[in-house]
Amino acid sequence: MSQKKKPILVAEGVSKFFGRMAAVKDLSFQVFEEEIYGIAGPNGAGKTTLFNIISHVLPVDNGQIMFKDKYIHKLSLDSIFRLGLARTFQIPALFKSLTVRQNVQVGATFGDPEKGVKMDKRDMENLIDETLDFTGLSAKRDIIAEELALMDRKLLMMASALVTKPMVLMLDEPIAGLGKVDSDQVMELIRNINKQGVTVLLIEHIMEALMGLSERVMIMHHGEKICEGKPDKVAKDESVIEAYLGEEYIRHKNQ
Amino acid sequence: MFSDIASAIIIGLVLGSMYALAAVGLTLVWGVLKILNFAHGGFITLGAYFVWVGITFLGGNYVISFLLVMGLTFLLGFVLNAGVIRPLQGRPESETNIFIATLATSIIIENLIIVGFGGRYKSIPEMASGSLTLGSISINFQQMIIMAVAPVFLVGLMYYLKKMKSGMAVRAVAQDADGAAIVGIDSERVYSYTIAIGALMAGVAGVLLGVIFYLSPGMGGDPLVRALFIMVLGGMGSVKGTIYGAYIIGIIDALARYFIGMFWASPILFVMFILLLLLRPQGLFGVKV
Amino acid sequence: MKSNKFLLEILAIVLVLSVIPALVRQQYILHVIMLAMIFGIVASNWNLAIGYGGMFHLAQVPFFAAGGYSTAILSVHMGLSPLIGILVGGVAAVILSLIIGIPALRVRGIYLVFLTFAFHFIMLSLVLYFVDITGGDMGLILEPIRIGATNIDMFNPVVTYYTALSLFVLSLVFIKTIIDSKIGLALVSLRDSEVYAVSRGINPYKIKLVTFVLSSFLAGVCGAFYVHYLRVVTPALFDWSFLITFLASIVIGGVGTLYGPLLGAFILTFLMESLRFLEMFRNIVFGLLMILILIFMPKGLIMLANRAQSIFSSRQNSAGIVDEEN
Repeated sequence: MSQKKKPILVAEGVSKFFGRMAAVKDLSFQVFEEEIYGIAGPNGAGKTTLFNIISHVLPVDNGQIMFKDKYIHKLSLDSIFRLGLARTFQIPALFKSLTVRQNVQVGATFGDPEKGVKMDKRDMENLIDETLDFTGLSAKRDIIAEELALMDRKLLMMASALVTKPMVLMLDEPIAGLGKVDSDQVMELIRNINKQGVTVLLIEHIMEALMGLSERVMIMHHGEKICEGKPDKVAKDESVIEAYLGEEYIRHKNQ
Repeated sequence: MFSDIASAIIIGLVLGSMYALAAVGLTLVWGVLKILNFAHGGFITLGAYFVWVGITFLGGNYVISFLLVMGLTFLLGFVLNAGVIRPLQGRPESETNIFIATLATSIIIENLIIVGFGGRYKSIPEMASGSLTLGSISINFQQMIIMAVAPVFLVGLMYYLKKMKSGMAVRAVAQDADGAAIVGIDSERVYSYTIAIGALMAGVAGVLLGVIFYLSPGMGGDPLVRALFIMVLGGMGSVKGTIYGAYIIGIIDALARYFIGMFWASPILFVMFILLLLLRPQGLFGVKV
Repeated sequence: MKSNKFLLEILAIVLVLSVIPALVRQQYILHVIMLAMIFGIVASNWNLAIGYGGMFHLAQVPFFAAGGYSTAILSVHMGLSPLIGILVGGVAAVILSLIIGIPALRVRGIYLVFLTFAFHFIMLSLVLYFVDITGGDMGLILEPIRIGATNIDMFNPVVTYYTALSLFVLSLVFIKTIIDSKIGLALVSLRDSEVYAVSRGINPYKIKLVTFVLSSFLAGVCGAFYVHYLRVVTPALFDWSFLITFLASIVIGGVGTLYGPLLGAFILTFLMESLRFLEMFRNIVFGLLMILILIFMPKGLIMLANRAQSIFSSRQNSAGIVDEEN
């Protein structure tokens, strides 16, 4: 199914070095419109670094990144966001002295929900309210963000991105650290986001969640792509079991 | 022409010696604590006034006065850390607040000096009179003493940082405070030592400046700005870079005074400082910021 | 509701400050309050950059001086009307802020301190060197600002007082508008978490530059107003004592608060006048006050007012509960 769709995000041979160590090494992949694309790999595989170079939190050292037929690897973090490529962070970030509603308002004000068309105030208010409803934060709209628990922080970070109607949303471990009920709710939310036509890139340590949500999965190891494909196929791949599941399995057993 | 240039370079080395001492403490504190100690100029002034007091009231003994300056500024460095810097560290907005607090400290020092000694210019009696003449170039003994004293302190500081145990702890904290903590270095202690050593260096610089220039309550301001320039030129936090930078600035300063005019030396240096900040903020020897 | 509260606050301030000339007959006290207002404006605009924008810099005195010297030079040499000169002073400060801000705000924060520090000294050197234009050490004698036939100077303290009051109110509204605008929202976001703010579309360079430039305008206007009021401009405009007064106003009143720097300026100006007997110890007292407040009351004295207000309202609350129980 995804093969028929157009690629929306394309990385060609991207690398990122820290000193002499390559955190991401000559990596290429394509993400198609409206799919959920999962990224997994053991700790230190370079997943978050990959997100950082796509969104330009860090500059890419080699290679090119294309979003909607446009090269973005030389654009800045804020302008990439305004184009419609939004992300969340592994450690929940928030504007701690602003209310929940104002946190979302930041995204609406400085992102570009109508892509170049200036919104009038009423429309923006409505958009913010809709987004709060959609993410289930309406009841907490006037709470100062600093007082939120982990689950709500994660939701808020997604809301401040969603309010700009992004085409691609990159989620960095949206489920890790949550209990069963909360993680089910977030998974449901991710499916709903995707149903609205948003392409999702997903990094997640919780394998059940990642495999359950993603249409395709890429496994990274030492900064390189070692396998890519449908979740059931990837789970059976020799190299993945060897490189990734080995470490991860032991880690899980020890916990 | 040749003798003009030679004389200017000699003056440049004299100025450079003083600037090196003035800047090295500032750099050290930045390198270790990542703070800008604006009270540094005040400590330069204190050094000059302490030696003046020593010489005036202790029967003109330079050596004892000099030791007095070293001891007092070193102790006051601890006081500065305990009373002003440490209470603000690790708090929100600490960078800005420490800057404001040390600026306030320099205001206090300047006005204490006005209260204690009045605002009028003072001068320290000559350390040594006479000069050495080589052909058409003459160097007076005071200049020679300055050129000799500064390297003693600079080399001493380098030796301390490289070879002595507490000096190595200072370098360890500068490079990686967390790592230093893991191997059991008490960074709080290192911070207070660093500030005290910085203060001592400023005091010594003040003594040498006081020997050549007049004393006034605001006399630390000018060397402070030059020290800032030198610190950036040397690559923010590099002691070695700072020492090279100081002599470069000293010589440029002297050439400008000699060939363009006293008045223009400072503006020229400021313009160069601005160009440096804009074009090469990482300094001559530093890596990219 | 928020803006209603502000409206009430500003009405209260205007009311209190405008009845003072009717109650106080000594011209000297009017002069002191007027200075407090002018210094308060400069300080609270500086606070916009330092407190709200997180950009520490030392350019506020150069902005103030640029305002003073630009109107002075143009009015003495080209016959510019001092009333227009006030605007020119603001524009001069804005130009200076662009010259400093465009390059400096691209690099790390500490470089802004260095750069503004260097600019202070360069401008002073230029003023001292171009004696023909600036009058050098002696400065220039100026005409006062005229509104109709009335001179705004020391000989007309009441009119001058009300002119300063209008500037004061203008500044309050100006700052409040900025804080409540998109820029204010962006500044808080950047202060809370810079990377996250940028990842939500905020261009930090643009926002900081705009804030920096906006915060310079009224400093320039005040510089111009001040020199025409004194009817003389001298290099004393670059004095460190201005820097100390402005900075101490911010710190003592409350960094990053709307009314803090204004409160600070009033406290300082009155201390300055009432501590005249302390003369030389004055700056020492200010310095110590700044350090003590930074350490023990980092939100400044304005917090006392806020705390008093909240204690008062919570008492009312508990009183209410007791009533219900009865």
